[in-house]
Amino acid sequence: MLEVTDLKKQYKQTKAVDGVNLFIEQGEIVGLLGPNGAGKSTTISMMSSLIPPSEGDVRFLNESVIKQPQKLREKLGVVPQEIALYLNLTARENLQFFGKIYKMDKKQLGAKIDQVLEIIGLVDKQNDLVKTFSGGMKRRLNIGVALLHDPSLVFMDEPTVGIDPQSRNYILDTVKRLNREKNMTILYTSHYMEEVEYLCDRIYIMDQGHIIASGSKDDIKNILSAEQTFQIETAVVKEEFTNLLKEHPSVRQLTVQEKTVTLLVPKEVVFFQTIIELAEQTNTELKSVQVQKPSLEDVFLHLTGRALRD
Amino acid sequence: MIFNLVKKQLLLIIRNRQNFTLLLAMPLVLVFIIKFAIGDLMHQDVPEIDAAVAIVEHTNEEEDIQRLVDELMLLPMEEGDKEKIKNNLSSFQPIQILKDQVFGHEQLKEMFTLEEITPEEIEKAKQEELYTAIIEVPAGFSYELVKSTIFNGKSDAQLTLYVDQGEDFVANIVKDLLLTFEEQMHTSSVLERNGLADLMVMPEDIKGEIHSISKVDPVSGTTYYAVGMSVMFVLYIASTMGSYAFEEKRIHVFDRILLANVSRWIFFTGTFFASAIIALAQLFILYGFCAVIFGVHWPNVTHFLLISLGVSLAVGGIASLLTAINYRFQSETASTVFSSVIITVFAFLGGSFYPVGNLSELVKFLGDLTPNGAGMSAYLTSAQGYGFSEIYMYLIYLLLFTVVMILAAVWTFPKRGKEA
Repeated sequence: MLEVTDLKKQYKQTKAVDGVNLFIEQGEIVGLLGPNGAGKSTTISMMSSLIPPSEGDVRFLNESVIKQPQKLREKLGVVPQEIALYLNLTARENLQFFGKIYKMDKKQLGAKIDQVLEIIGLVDKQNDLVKTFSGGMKRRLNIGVALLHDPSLVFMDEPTVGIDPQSRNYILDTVKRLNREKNMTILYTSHYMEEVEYLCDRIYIMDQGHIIASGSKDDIKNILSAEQTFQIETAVVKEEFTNLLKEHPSVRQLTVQEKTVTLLVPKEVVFFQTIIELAEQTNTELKSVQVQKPSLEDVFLHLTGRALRD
Repeated sequence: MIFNLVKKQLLLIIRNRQNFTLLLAMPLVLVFIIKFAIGDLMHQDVPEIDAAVAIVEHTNEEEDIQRLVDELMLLPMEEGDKEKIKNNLSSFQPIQILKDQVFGHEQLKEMFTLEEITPEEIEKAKQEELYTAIIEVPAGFSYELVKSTIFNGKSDAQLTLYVDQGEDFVANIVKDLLLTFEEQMHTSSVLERNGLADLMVMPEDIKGEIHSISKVDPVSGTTYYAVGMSVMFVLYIASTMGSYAFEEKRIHVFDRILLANVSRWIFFTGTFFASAIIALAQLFILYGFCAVIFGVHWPNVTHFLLISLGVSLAVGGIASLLTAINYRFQSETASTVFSSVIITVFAFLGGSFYPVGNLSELVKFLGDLTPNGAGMSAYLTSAQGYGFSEIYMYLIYLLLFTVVMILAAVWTFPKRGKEA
C-alpha cells in the first residue's frame, strides 16, 4: 500500500532523517518506535506529503507521493502530535469545519460527524468549546478530525502524549477497533513501548534518523534471544556495586533507574549467584532479583545503549 | 471554501474576549475619554450662533438723504443731471441696506436677530447686556457718508459698535461685517462716480468674513476622534489575523488544511477576505456606536461605505502580508512588531491622536501615505460635506495600497515545496 525508499531530510548541518526504508500493507497496524528527536515526526511529515524530502521517494498505491500528493491525501488521515484544533470552536464546529474543507456533502457530513463523535466518545460534549476539554478529550477529538473523510490509511503521531491512563486506554482501544472493524491501515508512532507492543503487528525502531531494527514483535524480541534480563532492586544503589557489575565480563548492558539496576547477560551464564556475591562484597542490601523475558525496551537498550525515554 | 475559512475566523474572533475588548471596547472608551478630556483643546467645535444685535439711529435717514438732495438741487447744474442724482440718491440709503440686505440676508438671519431700539434704551441695554452688539448710527451719518463719497471728500461719519466682551467670537463677526459694509459703501460710491457702476459690489457680497464657516460643515472633536480611533484600531485586525494564521501553522491546523487538498493560495485568499470583512464589521460596529452614543453622523452614506470598504481592503492586504512574513520566517514577530510599533507610528502620522497634518505639508503627505491616514482624511473630508471629487483620490490610494500589499504577500508567502 505504501512504500518508503531511502528517505532523507537534511536541515543545514543536521540530518533529521537518514535513509529510511519501510513499507505498510493494507490492514496492518505498524509501529514506528523511537525516542524524542529520533526523526519520527519528520518521517511522517514527508510520508504525508507535507514537507518535501531531501532525497528518496514515497509511493502510495505505486504512485509517487512527492510528485502527485493529491491521491494520497484523499485517502490519508493524519493525527498530528500537536492538538491541531480550534480551541474556541466547539467539538462539532471543529468537525464541521474540517469536514467542509474536505468538500463533504452537507447531509453526509452531519451523519459522519455523529458517527465520529460516537467513535471518539464525545457525543455529550459535542457542543462544548474545545478549550474546556481535558487533555484526553482533546486528543480524542484530534483523532476524530482525521477520521471524518473515511481514510483508508491513518498516520498517528504520538496520539497519547500527556494524557491520563484512562484516556490512553480509550484511544488504544479505539485504534484497535478501527483496524479490526474498518480494516483501517495505521502507522502508529510512539515512544511508549507498551503501546506499540499492544497495538502493532510489525514494528520499526528508529533512532537518530535511522531505522535500527524492524520486523514483527517476536522478530525484534528474538534479537535478544541469546540474552537474559536481570532486574535487581536494592535499598540503595551503591556505585561500587554497579562498577563491579559493569566490569564483569558477562554483563552486556547495565542501566540504573533510581533503586533498580537492569542487566543484560548471555542466556547460558548462570548469573544469579554472582549478583548475590557482589552485593555481599559491597554491603548492598538486595530487595529482589528477577529474571525477565526481553521487552522492546530491552531491545532498544541493546541496540542503542540508551533507554527510550532518555 | 473561502466562505468556510471566513466563517471560522469570524467565530474565532468573536469568541476571543481579549480581542473583542481590544478591537471594539477600547476604541469606544478612548473616544469617550478623549471627548471629555482634551476635546476642547482642538477648537474644532464651532459654536452655533444665535445672537441678538441692536441698532440705534440718532437720525432719520430719509431726512438726511432728502437734505442732501435739497442741497444738490441748489448747485449750478443742468436740470437733467439734477434729476438723475435725485433719483439715484433716493434709493441709496446705507443704513436701510445694512438692515435689509446685510442683516436681512437669508444666511445671516439664522444667526442674528436685529432689533431697532431707541436712543433712550441704550444705557439699559448696555448695563443689562441684552445684546451681543449694539450698532449706534450717529446723527447725520447717511448725509455725511453719501456727501463725502459724491464729492470725494473726507468723511467723519462712523458707526459706533458696542460689543459684549463675553462673546468675543460673535462680536468680532459683527465688527467684521460692519467694516466690510463701510468699505463696500465707499467703493460703490467711488465706482459710480467714475462711471464704473457695473463693477459695483452688491450688498449680498458683504458676508465674506463668515463665508468660511458657512460653506462646509465643521468637524467636531468627537467626530475627529471617532474617526481617529476607528482607523487606528482597525489596523489591529491585520496583526490579529496574522497571528491567528501563524497559530494555525504552529499547531498544525494549516497542515490539516493542506492535507484536505486545499491550495495554500485558497487559504491565503481566505485570510485576505476574512480580514477585510472583519475590519469592515469592526468599522460598522464602531461607527454605529458612535452614531448612537456620540451623535456622529455622515452626510453621505454612500461615501462613508466606500471609504470603509477601502480601509477594510487595505487592512486585508496588510493581514495577508503579515501572514506571509510570519510563514516565511516561521515566527510571529512581524505581527508583534506591527501591533506594538508600526500601528502607533501610523496612528501618529495619520493624525489619530492629534491633527499633525497641520504641522507641515511633509507630515500631512507622510500621514496620507499610511492606510489609516488616507482613510482618516477621506472620512473627515466626507464628514465636512465635500463631494466625491474630494475623496476619490484617497479611495484610489487605498486600493493601490491593497494591491501592493497583496503582491508583496504573494511574493513572500512560501511556495509549495518550500515548507510553508
